[in-house]
Amino acid sequence: MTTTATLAPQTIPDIREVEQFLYREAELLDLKQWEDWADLFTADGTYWIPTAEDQADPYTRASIMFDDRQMMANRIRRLRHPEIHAQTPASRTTHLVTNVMVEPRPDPDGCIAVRCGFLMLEYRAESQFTYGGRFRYQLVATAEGLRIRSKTVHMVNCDAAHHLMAIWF
Amino acid sequence: MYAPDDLRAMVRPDRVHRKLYVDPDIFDLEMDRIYGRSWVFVCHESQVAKPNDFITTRIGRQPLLVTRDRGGELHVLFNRCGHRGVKLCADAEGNRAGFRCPYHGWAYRIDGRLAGIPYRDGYSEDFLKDPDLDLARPARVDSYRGFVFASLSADVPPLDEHLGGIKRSIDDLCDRAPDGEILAQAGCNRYIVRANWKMQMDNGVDLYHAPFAHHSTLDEDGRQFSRHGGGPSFYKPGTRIPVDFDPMGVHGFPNGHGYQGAVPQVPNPDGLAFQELKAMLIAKHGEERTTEILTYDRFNSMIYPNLTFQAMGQHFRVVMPLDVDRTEVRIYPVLMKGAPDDWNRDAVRSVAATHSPASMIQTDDVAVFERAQEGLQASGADWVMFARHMGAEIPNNVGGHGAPGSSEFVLRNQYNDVWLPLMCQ
Repeated sequence: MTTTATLAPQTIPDIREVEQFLYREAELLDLKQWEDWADLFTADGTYWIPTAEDQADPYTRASIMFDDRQMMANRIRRLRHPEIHAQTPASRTTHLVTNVMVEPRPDPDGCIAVRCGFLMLEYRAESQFTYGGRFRYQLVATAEGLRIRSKTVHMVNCDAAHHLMAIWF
Repeated sequence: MYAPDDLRAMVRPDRVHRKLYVDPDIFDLEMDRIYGRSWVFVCHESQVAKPNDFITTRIGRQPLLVTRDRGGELHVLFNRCGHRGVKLCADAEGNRAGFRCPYHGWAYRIDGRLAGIPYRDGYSEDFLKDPDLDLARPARVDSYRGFVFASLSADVPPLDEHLGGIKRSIDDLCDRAPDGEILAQAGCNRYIVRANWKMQMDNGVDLYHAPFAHHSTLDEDGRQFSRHGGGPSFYKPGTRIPVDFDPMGVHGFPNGHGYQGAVPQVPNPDGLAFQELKAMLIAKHGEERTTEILTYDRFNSMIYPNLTFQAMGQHFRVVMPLDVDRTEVRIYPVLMKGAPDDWNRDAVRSVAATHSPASMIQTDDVAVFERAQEGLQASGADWVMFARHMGAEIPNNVGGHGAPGSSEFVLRNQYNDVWLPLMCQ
């Protein structure tokens, strides 16, 4: 897991508030409003896709993605570039989030711990791709609403040989 | 089927026929004659470091099992039961004392010897002594500084001779580790390319494509986002004009191997971990040798037909053909044994940004390879051109030839002097 400073334990919000937040996040990705999506992360927020089911961290074993806010900005810059071959033609996606569960108590870092299932359907260059698995979130409540401290994507086929991917799940 | 003369007609000094990439019959021949008749990279020894460790992999389409026995010896075996041919081990990696076939229960020791057959009284004593019951092995197996190669044919030169001048690229990589060894113990990234395996190999030392295929990754100053240890600017200073990569040079060897020279404008990284690594190397080798080791004079190296690696990017890449238009590629982050933890942690993290299936650099290459595979279906234009800097190659001082960085001579050399003779053998 990524190292995060311990916070004052968060108050656990209503599950409907968490769900609405996750749906909004999914919508921003589908709408390609990546700048707004990245702003849902805290300044030290991270996004991680490991290559193994029980992977300890993104520093001792290969990862499919491990983005901090700087890397997200790099990716967005590239996604907006007219000559990104991996997105010519651009993907269309629908992100589905389901089976949302909120831990009743803050996790050891003081964060709101949320887990859920996901599916992403992607259409690109005459091919349709299906990705699925589970998300694990560490959320924090801020004056602007919920924010993501960390999001870990456990793909069911994390260790498979993958087609090229350019969009966050 | 292709007769030698048909094959010769498809390879010319400056071009090859598109069928090399799109014809399934050519692919089948390549599996027999390229992957079946030359040294092929299998794995790094550190992937099976401990007694009873194993991994499964392939040479061409053939399933392999690599194991380490309790005495520490490494075995490269076919992953195929001696009875009815069932793939013996279905796991990618693990540690166990032996293998049992799921079909009729034949059991094998970790070194590939038959350990037991259920209901053995149904067989004659002669049959039970048949050495064909043990797991079969490739004809030749050898390694260089932990890089394990195998040949399905016994009729190959010694590995040392086969590697020749490219050995120094492996030395270069390993010598950066304070303990003089690299470890491939950080898992791997795997990606599928819907294109012929040679696309990825053709790209192995291709400097010509970088400013165009990777345009989307360049910042204002022409540098790619923070690569491990910095990176070259693709623009001439203060302009948007692509830098001239020709002074870097590209080098090729008789067996198809090659490397790119030093990247211009790349200082060594300057972080704490680097300073610590450098101090460790100086303590071991002294200042002069350390400077030599840390000089990035071989940016990207390629060992034909299936391995490429980067000293600076700190990874190696294995090309695994699946079908004429489908290839698996595995990218292994390289850990420097004895290096500061932060150095290796940074390298592992960097590979996720540069070469994973969701990375920012490799995905543009994959997209281009896939478009090339589609384009090459066009029968109105039959040739793939490799004419750049034709004839500009001159002998270098390491047993091969050198040419301007964007030259395509390594490919001309590969197709004319390696691919064609192997295919016509």
